[in-house]
Amino acid sequence: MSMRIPVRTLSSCVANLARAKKLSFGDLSKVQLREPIVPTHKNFDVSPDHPLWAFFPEGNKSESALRGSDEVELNSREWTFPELRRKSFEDLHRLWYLTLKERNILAREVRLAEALRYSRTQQHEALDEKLVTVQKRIKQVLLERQVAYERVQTFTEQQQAYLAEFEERYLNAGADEIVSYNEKLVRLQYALFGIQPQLQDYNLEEDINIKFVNGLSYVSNLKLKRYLDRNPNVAKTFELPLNGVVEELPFLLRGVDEAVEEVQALRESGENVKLDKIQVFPFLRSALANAIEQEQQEFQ
Amino acid sequence: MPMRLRAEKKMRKHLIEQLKARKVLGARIAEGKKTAEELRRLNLAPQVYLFKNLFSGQVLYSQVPAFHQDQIDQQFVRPNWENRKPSRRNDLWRVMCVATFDNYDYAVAAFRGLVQLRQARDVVQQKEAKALRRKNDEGNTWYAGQYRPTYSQEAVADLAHVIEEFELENTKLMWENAWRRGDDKHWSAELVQHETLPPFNPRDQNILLDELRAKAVEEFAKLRETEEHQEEASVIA
Repeated sequence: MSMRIPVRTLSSCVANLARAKKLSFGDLSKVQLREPIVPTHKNFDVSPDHPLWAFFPEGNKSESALRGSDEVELNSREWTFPELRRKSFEDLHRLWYLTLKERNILAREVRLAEALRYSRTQQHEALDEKLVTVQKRIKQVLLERQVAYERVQTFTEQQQAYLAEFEERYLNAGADEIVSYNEKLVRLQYALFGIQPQLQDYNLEEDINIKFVNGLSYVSNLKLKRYLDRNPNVAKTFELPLNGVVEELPFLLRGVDEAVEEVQALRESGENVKLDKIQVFPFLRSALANAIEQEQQEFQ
Repeated sequence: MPMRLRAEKKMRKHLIEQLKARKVLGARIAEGKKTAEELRRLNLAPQVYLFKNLFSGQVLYSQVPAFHQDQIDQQFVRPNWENRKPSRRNDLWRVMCVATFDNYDYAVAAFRGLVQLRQARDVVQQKEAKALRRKNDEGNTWYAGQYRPTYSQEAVADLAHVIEEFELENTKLMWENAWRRGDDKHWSAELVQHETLPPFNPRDQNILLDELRAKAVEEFAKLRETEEHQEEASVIA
């Protein structure tokens, strides 16, 4: 241990002696100051899918930060009302955000031009106004839809009258018309009762409500009535009316013949319980979830 | 003038003294200059920390992972309207670079050299330093609000200057952002090695710096140990 200390100091002394350069600036007035080192972006790579590229018109292919007034698209026009009315909600939603993205690009360019004292941004602003118009129209179209939907909710008498008329027409439809009537029924149950045409489209929390239950009983009774009219021998043995949602649901999920057979099987096994009101929604949800799962398995 | 008892006056004086004594002026470890021996004794690494001011762009050098009002007073002599004495607010100072040197002598020399160059820029060669700065249309140092980017760029240039002038080999610079070190032509590749600091939350800056210090101390101890083994071997031989 005692050996080590002198050795270390000796070696550090030797190292210091060996240095040609002093570890201090002498006269400060003779020091040659260096120019400031300007930072550069060349020291790192920017990811090509960096989210901020969305603020440039051509994404990461953009060459300049600011388009000249001749480079801005001038021959475009706004979406018209008739065009927008034909679009689904998803399309309108997408369109809204595309418009917003484009407006953000323009706003960034105008802001940059302001900072650069570049005053010819009228074209940018003209284009932005068109985009604002599109956004206003999208809002207007959505408002129209909402108003129409809400007004339909108040037409209860008309709805009842229409349903009665439809029932009559459905029961009297010939064999050649019944396919188109069934299609019409699918549309009708969606429009009036919110019963989705496709199983996978169900939102089990929101779609299962009192309207759905009413629609289910209307549709199942309608189908059953027509079936019993056409098959009098079944009608002799089949007891009416249907006993609650447990017996009505098969008419929604399957064809009428199968549904009738299923209801009869249920009645024989004694499983056709009349549910309490509080049990109806949970039953429908679990039954539909099972049906959706089965359908998916078959699909796979 | 209301009547005051002598005891009241005494108490008032005492309280004012207490308040003055209690005023926080920064981390106590950063108080005063540190020699190589002191750095070793305090278990600090051979490092120099460069803090940048978010408000004005000025840079503060420190030998420890913290700063103190004394350092600000020492490094920002002769303030003027363009180069004000910065505030000690710890939310404004963010680490810009951590320079780890080969040994404690180098670290102390580098710190002293940086402070000397700051002195040269602010006092001795004020005009020359000003000539090197980018100007705006009015001939003043370029600024946006109170921010003058030239100060941090000068600090980077001074760091390169010190390392090259003193030939401080085996220096490791850890940058908060790689773009600050500028073009590679300013740095001699045989002396300096560049890295980036791990990404950190500004709230946890002290923790990050303390971890860096602990790591550097450990590495330095290891290095010293291997050197000693070699020396012993050479002595025996």
